[in-house]
Amino acid sequence: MIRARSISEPTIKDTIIHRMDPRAKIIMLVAVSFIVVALDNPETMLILFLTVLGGFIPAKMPLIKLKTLGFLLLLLIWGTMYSQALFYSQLPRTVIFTIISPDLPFLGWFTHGGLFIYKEGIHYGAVQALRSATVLSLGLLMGWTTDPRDMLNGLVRLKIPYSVAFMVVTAVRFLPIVIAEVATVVAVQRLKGFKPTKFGYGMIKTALGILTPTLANCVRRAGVLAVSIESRAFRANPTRTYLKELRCSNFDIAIITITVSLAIAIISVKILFNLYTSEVYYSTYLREIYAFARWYL
Amino acid sequence: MIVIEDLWYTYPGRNEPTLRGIDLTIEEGEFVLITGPTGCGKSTLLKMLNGIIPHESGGEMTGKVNINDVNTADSCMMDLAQLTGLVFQNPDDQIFSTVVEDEIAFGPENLCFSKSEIDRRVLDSLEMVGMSDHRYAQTSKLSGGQKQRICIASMLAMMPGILVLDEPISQLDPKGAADVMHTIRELNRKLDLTIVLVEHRLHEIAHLVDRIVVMDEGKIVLDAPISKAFEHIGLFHSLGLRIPETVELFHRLGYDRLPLLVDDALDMLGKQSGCNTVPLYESSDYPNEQCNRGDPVISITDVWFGYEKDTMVLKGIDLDIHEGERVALMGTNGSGKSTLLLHLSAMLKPDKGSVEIMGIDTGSKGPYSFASKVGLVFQNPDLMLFCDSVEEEVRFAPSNLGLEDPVQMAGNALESMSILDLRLDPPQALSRGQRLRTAVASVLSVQPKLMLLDEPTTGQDKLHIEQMMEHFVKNDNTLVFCTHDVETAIRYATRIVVMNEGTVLADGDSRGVFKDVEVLERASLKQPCAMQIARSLGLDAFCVDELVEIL
Amino acid sequence: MKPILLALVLVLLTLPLSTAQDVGFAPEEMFSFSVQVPYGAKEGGLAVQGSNLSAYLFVESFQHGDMDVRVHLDLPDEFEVKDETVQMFRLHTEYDDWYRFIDFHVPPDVPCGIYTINTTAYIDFGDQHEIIERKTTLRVASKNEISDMISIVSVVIPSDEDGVGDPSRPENSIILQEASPFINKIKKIAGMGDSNEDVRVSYVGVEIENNGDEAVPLIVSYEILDIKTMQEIGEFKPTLMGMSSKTFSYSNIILPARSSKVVGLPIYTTDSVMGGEYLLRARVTVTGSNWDAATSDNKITAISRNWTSVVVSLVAFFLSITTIGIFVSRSNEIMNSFKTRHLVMISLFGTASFAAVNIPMTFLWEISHAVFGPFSFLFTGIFYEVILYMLIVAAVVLIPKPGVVFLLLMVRYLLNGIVLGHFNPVFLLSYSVNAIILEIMLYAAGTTRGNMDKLKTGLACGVADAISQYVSFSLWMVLYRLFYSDWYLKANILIDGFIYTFIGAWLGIKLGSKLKKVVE
Repeated sequence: MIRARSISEPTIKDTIIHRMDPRAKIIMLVAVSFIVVALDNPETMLILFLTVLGGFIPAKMPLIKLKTLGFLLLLLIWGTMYSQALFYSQLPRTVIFTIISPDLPFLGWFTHGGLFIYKEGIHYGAVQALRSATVLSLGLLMGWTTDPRDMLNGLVRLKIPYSVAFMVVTAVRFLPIVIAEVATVVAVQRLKGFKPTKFGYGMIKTALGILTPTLANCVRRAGVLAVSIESRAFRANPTRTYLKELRCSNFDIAIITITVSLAIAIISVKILFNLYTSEVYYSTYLREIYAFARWYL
Repeated sequence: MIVIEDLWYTYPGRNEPTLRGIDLTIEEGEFVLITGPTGCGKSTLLKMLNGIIPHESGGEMTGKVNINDVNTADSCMMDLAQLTGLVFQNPDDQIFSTVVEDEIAFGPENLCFSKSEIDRRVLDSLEMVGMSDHRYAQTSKLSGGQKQRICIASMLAMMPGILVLDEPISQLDPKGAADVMHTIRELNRKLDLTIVLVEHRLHEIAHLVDRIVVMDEGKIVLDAPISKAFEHIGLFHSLGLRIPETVELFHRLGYDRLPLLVDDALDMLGKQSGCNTVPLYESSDYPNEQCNRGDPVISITDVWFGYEKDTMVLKGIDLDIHEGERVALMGTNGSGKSTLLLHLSAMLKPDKGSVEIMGIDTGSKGPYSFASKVGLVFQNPDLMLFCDSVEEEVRFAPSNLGLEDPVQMAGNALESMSILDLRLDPPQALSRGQRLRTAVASVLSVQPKLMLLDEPTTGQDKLHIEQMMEHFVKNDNTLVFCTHDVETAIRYATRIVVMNEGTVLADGDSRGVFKDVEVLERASLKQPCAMQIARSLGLDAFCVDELVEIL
Repeated sequence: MKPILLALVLVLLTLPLSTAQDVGFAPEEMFSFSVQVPYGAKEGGLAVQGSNLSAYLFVESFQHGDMDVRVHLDLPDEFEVKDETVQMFRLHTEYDDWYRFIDFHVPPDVPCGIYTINTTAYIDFGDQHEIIERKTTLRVASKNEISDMISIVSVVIPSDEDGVGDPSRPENSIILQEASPFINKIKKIAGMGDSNEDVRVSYVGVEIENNGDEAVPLIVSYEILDIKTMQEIGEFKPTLMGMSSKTFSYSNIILPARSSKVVGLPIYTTDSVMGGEYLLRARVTVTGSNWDAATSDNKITAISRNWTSVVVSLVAFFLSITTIGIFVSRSNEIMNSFKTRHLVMISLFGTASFAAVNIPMTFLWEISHAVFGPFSFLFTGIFYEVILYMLIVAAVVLIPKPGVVFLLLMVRYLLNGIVLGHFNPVFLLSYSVNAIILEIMLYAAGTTRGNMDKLKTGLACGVADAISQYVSFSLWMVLYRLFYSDWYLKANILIDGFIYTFIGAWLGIKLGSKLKKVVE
């Protein structure tokens, strides 16, 4: 079964992906996010997506993680396709199914003339979903192959202020505890004969019921934890030292170099191409670049 | 050295001072136990030692607190932090890292030590608490005792001269508690660390300390070396403090010298321990006269269960519980007690076998179907309180279940837990004991036929537990509770089920079960001192009363 | 069986060839000759009194070799002919052809009725001499007769190419591509322009009905007028590729007897068209006359909007970059203004919000989309708005200080990144914009200054979240090229953004004050 844990817990192994420096992972993730936004060509987007998926092979992820990934991707792609099938606004478009007829009282008015599924929208949605799917898969690959603590170390070395990193470590550390507490509160409510699934006010009441004890515990805990931390000289000095050092391997440096240059190159070519199509700047020397951008990016 | 002179303190928003003229001097290397009933001000006194008061809390403070000649009021918390290390009750509230190493390195890193120095301190601290093998372990995977030792180690890495511990073992199982106390004792002996410990489980640790300070109503009422402290045994009794059974025994026998350990006691009685063992019962032979007292409420047949497919937590449990029985489930953490308890409330369904609650198989029913029949009080009662007022909280279940006259039912429950006067207060804002009673009342209000309690003794005062248990005894409730506390089990359970690794190790009345030393050892339980002494003397006595009679 | 079938097929295939050879040089096989009066009318034509029409003559040779042809067009005397009615010419080779329009005027006083028009072609091809005659009719009708026949049933704006209504867009409106040439340029440079290179923005569908017993040649067109001056707005008929769009924004049809037809006409605009109200006049004329057989006036609204999402995205981008920049550069100062207890509390609230909102939503978000479709926001909003704002506002009640919201959302974003790998720049932008706007609104409402007014706080959060919703939709539209329709945006902003958030904030104050008692 796919549980919350199968999304949130990393699988610690010793593979080439696991050994990557967290900084390299974060930088790669950001670079790919930019590339994904710049790209328009469906084939290239698909190749990028498949490359990212390929990364799961050397990472030797257990089956449950792959199942989780597959499940999340399916949901994501389905969701985007569905929403775009509804909201596609380019022409031509073909109605293949009517969800809400414009004549329907209220809803017809509310939706400004009904809701339809457009054939072209489904296709468009599938292509656009590749963007989110690529970022999601890469993110999960990074998340699942990195101990949160290393990830934070990476962030701190990337100039995230230490107190912020501290807050995030604390948040990560208490995540399983808070989840367990939420589960207990839900159990308590069920044992007291409360059915927490009623839509509307019932759900809000449930939410209040769950949050009150959970947060009360958080508030109590915060007091103790804060004293415990302060008695260990938290923020006693403006700077601090670190026991653990991060070292970039050649592989990490190669990854950073490749993804960052790729991102810069793609974005620059894309901008040049757009300058050309918007008749702002054109140079005959760049004709091949224009052609490349038109066909592949 | 800690010097406290004429210390008075009033919390903001309160009229009565919590501390009233405390004078206390603690020498370097001393091991001092501060004890007293709930609300006596002992935790407030601790907060003085590292400057939380007055720096964090506000309120009104007069008098002075000097740590190594530094006045806490004039110094900042950061500086005080390096003089005094603080360890609290619940290790889970103190550890913020996901990996042990990070937690220990945190302090030295903040003090900007070099990498090699930090590394050395991490190594040393872990060694001091006997956790060297766990440097790279996930903090969430550790047991309670291990976590608490990590908390101590993280303080030691700062190299303080004083270690202040606020009920460090109250949340731990007996084994964890023993490990932690052993660690503290070693630190005191080998490193000459000054230890100030607040604890009400005084009977378990009295033999380790040098000196006892007893507080009541904000004052020190007794300050004596451990050897002399129990001369004032009446004081301990009057404050409801549990004293070591050996002390109780020898006091009742009229001795002047009161031994703290079983071995000393036996020496005084002229006997060597363990030389005269009473023959063991066979598992099936435990006398259990309660067995057929009433109709079976719970009937468990060959239950197997695992959270993950490959690791079973319950392995073929067979158990019948009858009306009017009070069953204590005992065993180490991870023996399957809580999991079994969740089966009894239909929160979990067995993978194999069957659980019948009042004749209804849980297999096809949700916990909702049993909501009016079974009441479960969780280990952390705080998680059971989500309404705006105590009354609403207690009325929640009967209203939801559509029972007749929920107001009357709630009223009865409030009265039985003696919290009628608190009925308009928000439950989360109550004191710990009051919160426990509210949680119990919120379950009692539907008048369940079966009450389940998951470790009710953890982190609670003896007095609160007693009040609650007395109620159940008085009302003849059918009760199943998990506990580590041998004395509570002996005192209130009509039947004891010892579990180990998902199986029932022993099942019988307390007298029978606690005689079986081998079973107890496997479940990390210890015989009460009185029984140990009786066993060594070759006598068949179960508690201090019986022993006194025989001797 | 098979060989017989094959033989049959072969016979069938050769059949046309053999018949063609048999006939040889029949006149009809020698050349083709056709006449249309007026042009376009394949059978009997129709004209309104006072029309200017053309008769269309067409001849095509099917023989190799010179062919001399003389054509006589015999129009009724009542008509005023403007060209030569006798035409002579020579066709040189097979498939050589000749055509001519012969203009004539039907005077307004010509009696109504059916006129016969004879046309004769004399052909010399070598030794062969042939005469072929063609006879057609032209019915001349009065304006009243036509008016009774032809009517505009409906005008649908916007429609698709075939004139079928596009119900997902607001009625009687056209959405202008861009309002600002500058923004248009930026959009194109950033690669976010529409793929349509031309300036067609929509179509108008005109449904015309013919009640009469004969087919009517019609021209369907429209013009867009200033609603006050009734002057035509030229910007709606721009010049495209060197041609005035007047020349291709009309449709020429022949409407058969007793039928109706929907015609789709493109609407063009230029960058200089302003948003606002206009009058769209649909016109139907009978071919050959300028007189409107039927017109229909429709008020339309021109809406300009797309560029705003780009501007919003840009503003969001700079706003969040600046804020994050300021935060990173002055982080020590900012963080030191918080007590450690507060920092811990904020991070635990971050954990709680992550556990109560993000984790369940990872699964439920898409599932609810699948189940509730476009209305899933009614469900997901309970998590993303009500619960989240309960937490945020409760945190603010416990720590009434500016910056709490920012830190809380930052922890949530980083948790999302570290635990789920969602280091998505779009999330970063929308989280930070959300934090900034909320901080500003809560400060304005006094909540972060310790003044816990349920109503004010609820309103502040509602407005802040409505704005944030709008911004984040813009970001998705621009950066991920996704489409959302107007009603969907409005519903999200109003219901999720405002109402749900208001409820969440309201409950948050309640929750916060309960928790405050725990602290005390």
